[in-house]
Parts: sequence; C-alpha cells; structure tokens
Amino acid sequence: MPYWKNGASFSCAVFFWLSLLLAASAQASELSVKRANLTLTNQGYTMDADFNVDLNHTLEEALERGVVLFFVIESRVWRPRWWWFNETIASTQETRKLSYNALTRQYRLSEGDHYQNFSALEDAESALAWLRNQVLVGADAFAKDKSYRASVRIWLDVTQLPKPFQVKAVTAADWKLDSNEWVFDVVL
Amino acid sequence: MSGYSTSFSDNTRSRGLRWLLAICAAVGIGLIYLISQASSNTALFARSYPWLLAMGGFLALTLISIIAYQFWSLRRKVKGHVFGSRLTQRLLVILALMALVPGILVYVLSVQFLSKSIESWFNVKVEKGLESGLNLGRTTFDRLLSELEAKAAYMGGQLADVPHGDEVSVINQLREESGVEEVTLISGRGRVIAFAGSEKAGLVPDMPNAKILRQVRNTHTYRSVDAGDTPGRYVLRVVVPIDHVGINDGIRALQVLDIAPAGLAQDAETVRSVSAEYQEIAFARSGLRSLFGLALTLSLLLTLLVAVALAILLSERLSAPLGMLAESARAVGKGDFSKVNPVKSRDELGILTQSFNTMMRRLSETSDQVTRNQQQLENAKSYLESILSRLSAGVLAFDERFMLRTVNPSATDILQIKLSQLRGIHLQDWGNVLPELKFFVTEIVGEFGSTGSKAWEKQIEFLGKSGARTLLVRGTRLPANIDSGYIVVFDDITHLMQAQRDAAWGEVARRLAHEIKNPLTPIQLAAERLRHKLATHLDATDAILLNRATDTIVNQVNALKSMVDDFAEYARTSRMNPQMLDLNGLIREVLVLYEAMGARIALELDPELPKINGDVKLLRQVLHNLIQNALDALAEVTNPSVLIKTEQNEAGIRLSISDNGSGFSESLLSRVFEPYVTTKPKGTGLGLAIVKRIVEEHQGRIQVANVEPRGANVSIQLPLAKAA
Repeated sequence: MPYWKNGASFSCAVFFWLSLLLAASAQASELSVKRANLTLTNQGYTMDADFNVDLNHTLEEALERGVVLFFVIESRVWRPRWWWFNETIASTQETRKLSYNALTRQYRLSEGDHYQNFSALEDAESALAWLRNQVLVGADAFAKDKSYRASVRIWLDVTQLPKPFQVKAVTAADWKLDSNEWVFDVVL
Repeated sequence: MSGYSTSFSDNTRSRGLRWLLAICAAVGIGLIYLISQASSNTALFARSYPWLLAMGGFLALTLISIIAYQFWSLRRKVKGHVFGSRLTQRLLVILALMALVPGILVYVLSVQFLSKSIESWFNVKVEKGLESGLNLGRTTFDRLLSELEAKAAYMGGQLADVPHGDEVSVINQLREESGVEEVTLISGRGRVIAFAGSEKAGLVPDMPNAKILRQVRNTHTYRSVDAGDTPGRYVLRVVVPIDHVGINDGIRALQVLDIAPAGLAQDAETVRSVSAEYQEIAFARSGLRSLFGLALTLSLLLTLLVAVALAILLSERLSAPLGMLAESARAVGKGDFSKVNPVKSRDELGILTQSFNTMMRRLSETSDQVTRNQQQLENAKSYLESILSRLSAGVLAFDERFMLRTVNPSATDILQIKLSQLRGIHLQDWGNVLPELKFFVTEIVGEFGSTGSKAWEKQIEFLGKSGARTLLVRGTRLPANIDSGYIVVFDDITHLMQAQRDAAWGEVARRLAHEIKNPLTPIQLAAERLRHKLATHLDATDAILLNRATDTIVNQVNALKSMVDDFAEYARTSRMNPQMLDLNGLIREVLVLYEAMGARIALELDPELPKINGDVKLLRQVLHNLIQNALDALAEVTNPSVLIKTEQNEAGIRLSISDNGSGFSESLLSRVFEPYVTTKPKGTGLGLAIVKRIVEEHQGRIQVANVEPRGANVSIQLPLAKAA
C-alpha cells in the first residue's frame, strides 16, 4: 500500500540525517597538543604549551576566501575527587582569530588588540601553535599535600563561523578541529 | 473479535495518543520556528543547531513510531474484521494522500527552486570584476611601494656617510623632506639607532620582525603593505640595507613607513571586503544549500508526519460514528436492541445517529410488545390446556381434514386407548388401525356428514376394554374465521344411566312395597279374626282346616311383609349417618344374638384396630346379612365353622367372613352382587346387593371368593377415618 512506502521513505530520510550527525562527531583532528606544562612565574602559575597546527585544504581555502577562523585555547586546573565532582581550581580561555587579507596577501593572527601579520600560512600556524605565559592561577592556589591535574585544549570554534559553514561543521569532518583535552599531572 | 469489551481501553489509548500527537505537533511547530530563528542568529544557531536537528530527528522518530503503531492497530482491526476499520482505512488513504502529495510536490519544488536560486546568485563576471578590483588595488599599492622604495634608497644613500651620532638629526631632516610617516635606522644587531616620526606616528618605532631584518642583512630590500589595526588603514613598509664599510656591527637597515592615502585605502578596503564576502558566500553555497535544505526537509518531515498522524486520528474519528452505527445495525439484525449510540455531533452524522437511536427504541418497544403478546398467547394456551386436561369430558379436536390436533387425557381415560398414536391418520381410517373404534368413528363421521356446520349430540355405545360404555358425544364445527376444524366432546354416561335406572327402579320398588304392604296387615288381621271367631263354632275337622288355612295366610303374609321390607330396604335412598365407631365392638355386639341361637363362630380380631367412620346401623346390617348368609350355607354341613377376622393393612382395615359351606358356583360368582341372585331356597336375593351398596357408600370394596377345600370368603376393605 502506498502509505507504507511513504512512511518507510520518511524513516529512511530521518536515519540518513541522524547517521550524518553521528559521523560528524567522529572527528579526524588536525589539531593536537604537542607538549604542555605549568610554570611558576612571578605572576603565578602559567600554562605553556606547544600545539601541532596543520590546517587542512578545506580550511585553507576557506581562509583564502575570506572566512575568519576562531581558535579557542582552554586551560584548566582541577583537583580530582573520586567521591564527588572534581573541584575546578581555575580555568581560562583565549580566542585567537586567524584571517587572510586578499589585498596584501597576508595572514593575520590577532588576539584581543594584538595582531601579527604573516605573509606565509606556515608562519601564522606556528604562531598559533605557540602558547606562553597564559596566566592560570596564583602561586598560592595549590596545597602541597594534594594532587592536581591540569589540561589544555585547542579547537576551532565553529560557533563563530558564518551560518553555512556551521552546517558544514555539523555535517562534515573537515570542519571539526579539536585537540581534545590534553591532561597531565601538576608537578609542584 | 475484540468488539465492545475493548472499546473502553481503545478509547483511553486513543485519547492518550491524541495528547501525545498534540504534544508532538506543538513541539514540532516550536522546533521549526527555532530552526528558522537559529538560521538567522549565528551564535544561537551554532550552539543549538545540532541539538535542534537531533530533537527534530527524535521527534520524527516518535511520530514515525506513533504512526507505525496507528497503522499496526488499524491493520489488526482490518484483519480482525472490526466494523468501521475498512472505512477508516479508506478515509486514511484519502486524507494521507491529500496531505502527502501536495506536501511532497511543494517540497520538491522548493528544493529545486532553492538550489537554482542559490546558484544564480553567483556568476563569473562578478567574480572577475572583484578579482580585477583586487588586482588594481595591489598594483596601486605596488606603485606606492616603489615610490617609497626610491625615497628609502635615497635616504639610505644620504645616511651611509653620516658619522656616528649625527644620524638622528639627519633622519629628521630626511623624513621631513620626503614627507613619509616614520623613518627608523636599525643597527645590524637589531637595535634602533635613530628614529623619526610624524605627529601621528607613535613614540615607539614599529619594528620589523627578525625575519625581515635577516632578509635585509642579506642585502635584499624588503617591501610590504600591512593591514593596520583598523580596517582601511594600510601601512607601506620598505626596509633597505645601508652599506657602511668599516663599521663592524654589520649591515644597518633603514625602515621607511608610510600610510597609504586615505581615499585609496578606503576604496581598496571596500573592494577587499566585498570580494571577501563574495568569495565566502560563493564558497559557502553548498553549505547554504544544505542548511536551507535541512531546515526545509525537517520542517516538511515533521509537518507531513503530524499530518499523517492527524489523518489517521481524523479518519478514525470520522468513521467512528459510522462504525458504531454499523455495529448497532448488526446487533439489531441479531435481535439486540440495547446498543444506543451517543450523539456527539450536530451534523448529519449526529442526526443519523439520533434517528437510528429512535428507530432502535421503537423496534425495541415493538419487539417487547411482540414478546409480551407471545407470552400472553402461551399463557392462554397453557391455561386452555390445563382446563382441557382437568375436564372430565373427553375432547378431540380435528383440523378441517379430520386430522387429530388435540386430545385431552380424559378422552384417553374414557376410551382407554392412547389416542396420540392416531395423529396424522384420517378419522375415517381410525377403525382400520384400532378395530374397537370402528363403530365410534363411523358414527362421528356420519353425524358430521349429515349435520353440516350445525352442532349435534348423540349417545353412542362403545365396547371398550372395560366393557360396554355409553358415551354422550357432542360434535361441532368451528367457525371458519377462527380456526376451521371440528371438535368432538364426549362423556362417559354409563354410571349416570345406571344411577338413573337404579333410582327409577328404587322408586318403583318403594311404591310397590308401600302398595303391597298396606293391604297385608288387614289380610293378616282378617285371617286371625276369622280363626278366632269361627274356631268355637266349627267341628274338629273344620277347625283344623281353618287353623291350617289361617296359619298359611298369616305365614305367607309375614313372608310377604319381610320380602317387601327387603325390597324397600334395597330401594331406599342413601341416608348415611356416619360416626366414629369401633368395628371389633360392633362385631361382638352382633355376635351376642347368634351365640344365643347356639351358632359356633370363631373370632380373630385385631386388638390394635383403629376406629373407622361409618354408620352403625348400616354396618350392623352388613354383619347380620353376611353372618346369616354364612350360617345359611352351613345348614347341611356336618362340622360347620365360621371365622370372622379383622386386620389392618396399608389401604385401611379389612373385615373377612369365611365359612366351610358349599361356596358359590362358578356361574354365580360373577353375578353374586346383582339383585335376585341367590343360592338359597328362600330369600329375596337382595342381601349381598344391599351389602355391596352399603360398603360402597362407605367408600369401601367388597370381594367374594371360594376357599379351598370348601367354603366361601367375603372380604370387605374399608378406608380409615380421615384425620379430620
């Protein structure tokens, strides 16, 4: 009967879209954390990290076509508690904006009011991959007799992309860049 | 079939389903609104879009399962031949098609239109134009850089021979001459030697980075246009090496910075930003297509699913009253008028339901009436039958073809033939089946044949198993407008006739006795007077003759008197005067007389004998008659003996009198109770007849039998007194 077929085709469509969603969450990352550590400076503990940043062809093309890419670097320190939720000691985020100027043929990496221009993408990538002196927590934040863990993560913030790319980011793996949390024990 | 037992749970389930569907529809509408909102609001979109999609998918799944459930239950109903389900199915197909076909059409058209229109936004000419604009900007910047480079080269030449320490004043002078924004002299180690800037420039030089300096140290000129911190501000940067032979700290570098002219920079920036936007949108079109497509598809999917689910509900709702009507009609067909359908709507269906209910109520009343009438008929019939069965008269009812229709028990009793075996046999042929009925039947048929439709009455002699009987038969033809047929009613009037005869005879006997007895006393008196008067006047021989003659007269008159008394006794009408009496006592009282006469009579009396209800005088006569009979029978017996015996049995009490006399002859035994039958040389022959009558008046029975080796036995069975 015809309405059975209709129902079947509807369910097929729904399954198709759902499977797309699932596929999008299985990501192939071109962002990763190379190394990271907490350093005690006179400003307190700062996060220093080196990332691997290698933008894929799609993102490069998007960049050259004027799309601004936002990268978020997030650092966290917490005390693990097995009996309850972990106690977050501190967490901080900074957003780095990577853009391309077609007129000057330069890449620009900016963070807040600061910016740097690069004539080559590789230079911009290595600048993006370099995190120093991200002040995380005061020097007195840690108790000596307790153990702490810290993490750092960098990802492409698709929420700040123009809408059509957000759909792509939802559906296509090329737009899913996330290092995931790189966790390490805090050595005081 | 599930029928009405599941209707309640069906209702609740359907109501639940309706609510669920309403919720789904509301959520779906909200979701579609949110998706459309999210498409315009970037931040919200990005965060919630996957969730919206997932929710949409979940909602679609929920709807699909609802629809699947609805289809499944409908399918089950159709397979189970539930009334109305086929109608629901047809309505559903129509409604679903009405929703699906335009929906899908609009969807296909929209998707087509969408992709076509998005593609049409972009074309090669615009792209080329923008690219050319960009190139124009680049070329202009290039020329500006070339001018700046020439200035820098000139300044470098001027500065090359300036002695150490005078660079600052020379740079200031050179900058003012050339009109550039900022001039910086940098040592080979990257330190600022001298710096000069316009009022707009900062206090600190905008230093080139290490990479540039490295390039310059290799005696290559560096030139670039940098985008400034604000849009539309472009900084032209040229760094040239300054050869200074003899100074150890390496090749110095001169950086000359200038701001691109504002108008030019603004135009260039406009071209750049428009080009970038265009490029971005062009690059994003597939994403845009899928964004709109996805929103469209999801909206359509939800809408259509809700529409289909609604179609199912609606079709069920539409067909429900029809199904109920059909169900009720079927129930009416089976004779059940109890199913009244609730009237829910005011439309034609409601009116139909209402008129159906009215019709059903009328039918129900009619059917009740019919049932009542039938009941009344049956009551009347059974009333008639019970009357028939209690009638003492025999009743035979025939149809118009003389086939037996009804017979009552009295008819069977009177004729002593099972008449029901004669059903289906024509009345004329009954004689062939049962020969004893031949005369009876012939008479009836003859009467009906001769009298036509009038009633007739006739006495017919019928020779049954218990002897000849006189039947009074009445026949009539039933009027044709009721139930044409014939009825024959007959009474056994044998006893009646016997009684009439007896009464007539008794009257004759009484009068005769009276008439005979009256002259007897004068005759006797006259004879005695003759003897008394003449005895002295006559001689001895004549006196003897007179005495003999008068004795004969007196004796014969006495005999005649007693005979007339017996006669009168037999003929008298019943005058029983019953009272409670002890039979044993009565026997002993009677025997006193006979013992005085020297008769030998043995007694065997039951001492426990209960009292009976009887007339003392009559019973005494019974005893007298029987004992006298016994003694008469023993007159010529050498060793005479009489035995009187009383006993109690289940029927009452029994009195028997036996003797060892001559007994009854076989020919006499059957007629012994008839009047004037006697074995005795003298006697009227009325004794046993009177005894029998008295016993019968006491509801008793009398039997006479011979006993071995010789003698006779008379036994009387009397009922016990009723416990009144």
